[in-house]
Amino acid sequence: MKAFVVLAVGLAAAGLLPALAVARRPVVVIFLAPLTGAGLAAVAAVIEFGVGGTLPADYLGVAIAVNVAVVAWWLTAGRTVRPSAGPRWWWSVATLAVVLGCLAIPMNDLRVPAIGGDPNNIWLTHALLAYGGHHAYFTGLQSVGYRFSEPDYPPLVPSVEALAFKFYGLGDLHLGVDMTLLLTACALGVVAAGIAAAGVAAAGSSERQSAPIAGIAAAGAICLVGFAVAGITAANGYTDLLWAAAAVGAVIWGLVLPRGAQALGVAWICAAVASLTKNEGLTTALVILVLIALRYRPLTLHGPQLRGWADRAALVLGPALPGLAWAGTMHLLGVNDVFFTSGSGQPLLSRAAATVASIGACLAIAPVALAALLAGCWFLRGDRERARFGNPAWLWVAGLGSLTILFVTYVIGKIEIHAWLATSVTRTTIFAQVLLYSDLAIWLVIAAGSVTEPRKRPSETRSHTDRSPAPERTPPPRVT
Amino acid sequence: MGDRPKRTGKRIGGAGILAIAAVSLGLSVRNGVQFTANFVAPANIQSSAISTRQLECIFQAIRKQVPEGVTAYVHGPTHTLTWRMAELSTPWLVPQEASPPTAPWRLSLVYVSPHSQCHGLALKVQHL
Repeated sequence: MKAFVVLAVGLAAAGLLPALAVARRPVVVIFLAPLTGAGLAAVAAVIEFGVGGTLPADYLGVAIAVNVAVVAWWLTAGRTVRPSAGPRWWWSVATLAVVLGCLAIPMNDLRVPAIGGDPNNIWLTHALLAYGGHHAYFTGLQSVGYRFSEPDYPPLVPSVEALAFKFYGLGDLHLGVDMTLLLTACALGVVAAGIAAAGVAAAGSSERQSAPIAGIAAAGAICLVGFAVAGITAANGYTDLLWAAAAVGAVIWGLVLPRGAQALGVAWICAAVASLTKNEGLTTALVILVLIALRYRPLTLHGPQLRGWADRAALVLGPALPGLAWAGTMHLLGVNDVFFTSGSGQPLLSRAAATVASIGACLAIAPVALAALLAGCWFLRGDRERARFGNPAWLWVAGLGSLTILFVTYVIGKIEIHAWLATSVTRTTIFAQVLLYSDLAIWLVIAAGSVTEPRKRPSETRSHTDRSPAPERTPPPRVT
Repeated sequence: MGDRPKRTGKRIGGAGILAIAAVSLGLSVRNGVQFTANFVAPANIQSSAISTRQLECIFQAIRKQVPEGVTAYVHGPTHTLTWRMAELSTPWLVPQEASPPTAPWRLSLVYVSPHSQCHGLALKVQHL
């Protein structure tokens, strides 16, 4: 109960206006607002660490500044507070009910006061340092005494846990795990809202409701799938599902759903959250942001070359800036984790072989997802283009890019590879697994719309190739 | 190929994709629900509660027995418990793991009877 209060009062209240300004869709805003608040808390922690002050004071300053900026932008841009024209009201209510109902099942895990190894060594330690103010945080992360805690890890989870401790004191240490679990649920809620929105997009102007209904069902399923993939690690405070779900949210909203300023804004927030949660979240977010920049500002776009590259750089660096600032500060201070500081002396080839075997064993869903991709591209390509979805290659390149970085990290890292893989590979591949399940969910939604498509009269039928023009070729929206 | 066979093929292909995706998602959903059901079993709740209460007990003991802000050498019977001592003394005091210890305070965890102090662990404090 305490964690729900912190989520609503401490995070969602601060993030509501920015989330509303960005998304303007009621379903996604409910899950995006706490994530936005968590992002603001992380920025406050960066300030607390690098500049000074205490976390509550810095958080208040950041939250007020961002909310004032949003109001000013809203007024100067002449925007209304009305939600954007979207799907019918019943769809929003049904989506919210199904997603919240499905998320309620894994929330039962909150009844178990378990705190895992990393949540103790890393996240609770960092949260207590952030709780202690600038001096404790700044000196602590550079101290040899805390080297065990991977001191360069980003500050989103510690800042949120520290805020919760500021609300309720240090009497209940499990409160930190509760906060991580609730934020993870919010990140999966954003993914689910995206999949449900895909159902509406797949239906288009059709009166048939099969795609929207399938979208709602798939949205509920993906919430449970996320927790199923992560298993015990999501239940006892690990943050891997949090960054993975946020990164999948960035892919769904930025690379799958039809292009638009709102979808881009949601993707940016998700990418920022992923980049501020874990180091692998930062690298994955950068891959996703580069792909989003290329989708929204294609290399084939006409106009001044310099302007195009400046736009693309802004699309990548804007949301990644807080994460990069943290990583840069840690690098300048010489603060490292243990993965690259000691030597195992193992040959690269044997490390590579062990890594491929372990990662492969975690991706049992990959052949199924590949089969759905090939069948979908063969049978449903026209439906996908009509719905204005991004090319499925975007999603797969994002997943493969993340796996490539993971592979290189394991191969060039210095820890004994078998022990390292045994303790981490099921967590580091969560992103790829949830992404592949999300791809299946998107194909499911498109297929549901396709198989129930009414029979057209001969005059209305057209072949695959002469359907409405591919939306990816239409000019990208203006990003404000 | 005529339009009708193409449309039929598309429907069959769509139905196949629908089935593959629904079965895959469904199996994973089943795994997730089963995991939660096992995880919230009373025995697991009880053992987790003991571990967390143990942590909180040591956390409070440090704050009761050691003055705030001092530098202390922290030590436990295992690596993990030494880390746990550093973690739980944060930010109350400045933990030191250097050997030989030079800090004026020494904090160590020792195993005791399961029913005494912090569920089988006790904090031992020395001021040199």
